[in-house]
Amino acid sequence: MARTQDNDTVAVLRAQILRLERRSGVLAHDAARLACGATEIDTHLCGGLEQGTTHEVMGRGADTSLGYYPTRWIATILSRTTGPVAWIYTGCLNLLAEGLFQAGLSPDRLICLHAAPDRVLSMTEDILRETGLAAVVTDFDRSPGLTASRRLRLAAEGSGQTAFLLRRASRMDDTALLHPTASSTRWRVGPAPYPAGSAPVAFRPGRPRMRVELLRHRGGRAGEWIVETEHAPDHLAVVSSLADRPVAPTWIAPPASLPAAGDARP
Amino acid sequence: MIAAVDRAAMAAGISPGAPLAHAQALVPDLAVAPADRDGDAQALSRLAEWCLWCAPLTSATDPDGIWIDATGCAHLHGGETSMLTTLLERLSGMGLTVRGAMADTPGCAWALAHAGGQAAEVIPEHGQAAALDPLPVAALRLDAVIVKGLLQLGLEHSRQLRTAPRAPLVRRFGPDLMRRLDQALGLLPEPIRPVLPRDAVQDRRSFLEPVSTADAIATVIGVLVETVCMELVKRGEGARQADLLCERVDGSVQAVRIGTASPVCDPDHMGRLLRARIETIEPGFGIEAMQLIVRQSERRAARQVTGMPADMSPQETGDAELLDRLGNRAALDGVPVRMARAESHMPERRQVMMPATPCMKSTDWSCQWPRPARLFDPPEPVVMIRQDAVGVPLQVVWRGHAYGIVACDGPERVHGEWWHDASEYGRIRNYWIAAEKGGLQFWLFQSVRCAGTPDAASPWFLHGLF
Repeated sequence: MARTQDNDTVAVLRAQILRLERRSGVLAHDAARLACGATEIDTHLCGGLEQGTTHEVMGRGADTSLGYYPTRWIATILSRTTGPVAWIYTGCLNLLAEGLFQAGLSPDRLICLHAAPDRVLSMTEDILRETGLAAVVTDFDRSPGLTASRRLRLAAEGSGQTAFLLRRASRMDDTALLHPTASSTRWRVGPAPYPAGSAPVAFRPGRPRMRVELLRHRGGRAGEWIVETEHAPDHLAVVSSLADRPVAPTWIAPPASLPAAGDARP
Repeated sequence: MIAAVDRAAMAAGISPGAPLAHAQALVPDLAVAPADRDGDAQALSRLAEWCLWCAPLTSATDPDGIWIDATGCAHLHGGETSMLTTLLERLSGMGLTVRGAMADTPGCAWALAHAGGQAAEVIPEHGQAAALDPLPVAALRLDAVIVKGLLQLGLEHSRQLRTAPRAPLVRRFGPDLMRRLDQALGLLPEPIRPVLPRDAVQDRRSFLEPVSTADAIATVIGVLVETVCMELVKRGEGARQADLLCERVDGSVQAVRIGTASPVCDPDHMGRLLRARIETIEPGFGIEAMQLIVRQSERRAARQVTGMPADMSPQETGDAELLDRLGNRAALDGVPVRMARAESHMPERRQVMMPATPCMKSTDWSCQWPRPARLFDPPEPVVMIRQDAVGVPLQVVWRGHAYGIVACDGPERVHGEWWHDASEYGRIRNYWIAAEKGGLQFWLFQSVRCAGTPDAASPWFLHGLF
């Protein structure tokens, strides 16, 4: 027993030294993980998203400039954490509290901070050096570039905070979003297409589904999944681990007793 | 030399700055009283104290002005325009000749009050540049020498100054010129030194040798904070806003302002907030005195230090300190905000942004119906191309792209709130969740005029995505 404790102490001290030396490559192996709730994705990520580093999330298609799906994905990931979340934004804040709650992130945990567009990255870096936050989400539409993203990552490693960069661009599917940065992972989230051959207005929209692409994964493989969420916190399931594989037909079958959409009108 | 004239004298052609002999030559029986600068300054500061009824921060400014920081006070007097007119009416009622202006920056307000066209003017938010442009350069509170130099160069109006290349002007006139311009435009902060209540908690230390290193400043902050917090504890109060004034050798003052989310009398915490801002202090040739003043304090609930559990849990204290650390960031625009529940049926009105306080109650955010995580603000108009016989959307055009709807659910009916806006009377929104082939789920609504059946001409809007 005593021996195990000794070993633990040594391990903790080693981790501390590594942290001081900021050798992220080695550190990544032992870092705390943030499980996102779907077993397939967590296994792929060796237990979840790495904490104490930066992650990028971006939208696809028309959502590139809006960030609806990325917001939902970040809220889903953060649903398994506790503690305040700093949400740094530029422009106007169009988050809907009830929708966030349904996506898994309680609005009570949010502390929203407005930053001028040219100071958003320096403020993120500044706040990443804080302690006591569950995560820092930066919602912005500029390209951080290698230097700035490296600074963010160093700040995150130094304090052990996790940052999510919700990246938007005014142009649809802007290639500038794919330029290299120092973030640990890069996610692209968008809607998952309905399977071909479904009858028009025969069923209800069902649960929202997302196609989640892991475009970049430092020290790991990329991946792609289709996940299904519920309009209630803490519900996430992988429907298909490949985007082009036909989806199991069970999820769309409407109960026979359910009235068609038109009948629901008062 | 004439210092000031009254209206009758001005009508006779006498202006301030003219030699007394010249004035007496114009009006032989001129009534002359020697100028009493100290008396004027005292009267002005008394007037500044009198102005405390309209805002908590007022300051007398040489030679004839009073600054009132109306941040967060205007709504108490029925808006900015109404506040300004009320104030000016009361001052005129006291027999004073007054001009007033309200703007984002003290510099801009000063310029308009002294050189503007109207006796009372309110400049809209971020309207400084437009308001300053037509004014003469003298309105920027510049030295007479600089004004004369600018006039010789042909720079008469602020607009010319604003658009002129800066470097040659700075080289010629010194940094003061551009500093004043930037302060008036709001590019540089300009702290005002408010009238101090007689019983304000404060401490001031002057040094034998000027200090200029960060370490030395941090040490002094430690000493000041210790004394101030001891006094606060004695009074049972905590600071909500405090100013650290650093008086430099060259006579200028560097100010650092910190605000807190809850009353603070913990020296460690206050010291940490102040020390985080040391880098914003420019010591120049050295600081010869530092002063810490508590501008705003609030009563603290008494707390038992040991024994029974305190009334604020450690988590709440941590939360308050975190908020303070976040709120005092230099890059932050405004204050940290949180979402709070508002009673309404309209989705966009069901939440309000409130300045974050440490002890927020946990709110029930659950909603019976699905809601998107973000909203289009304002809702985006879409074109409904096809609907079936009962009004179910079948094809919609959004941002120039047609989407075929394969599944939908609705309508969820929301009635307009006429108590907010008369135009909403009788308006109904029918919300639909509509999924297209690509998997996008639209949150659409049709805005219908009256309780009758929705007709095809009623406009459709997109309010969110799932």
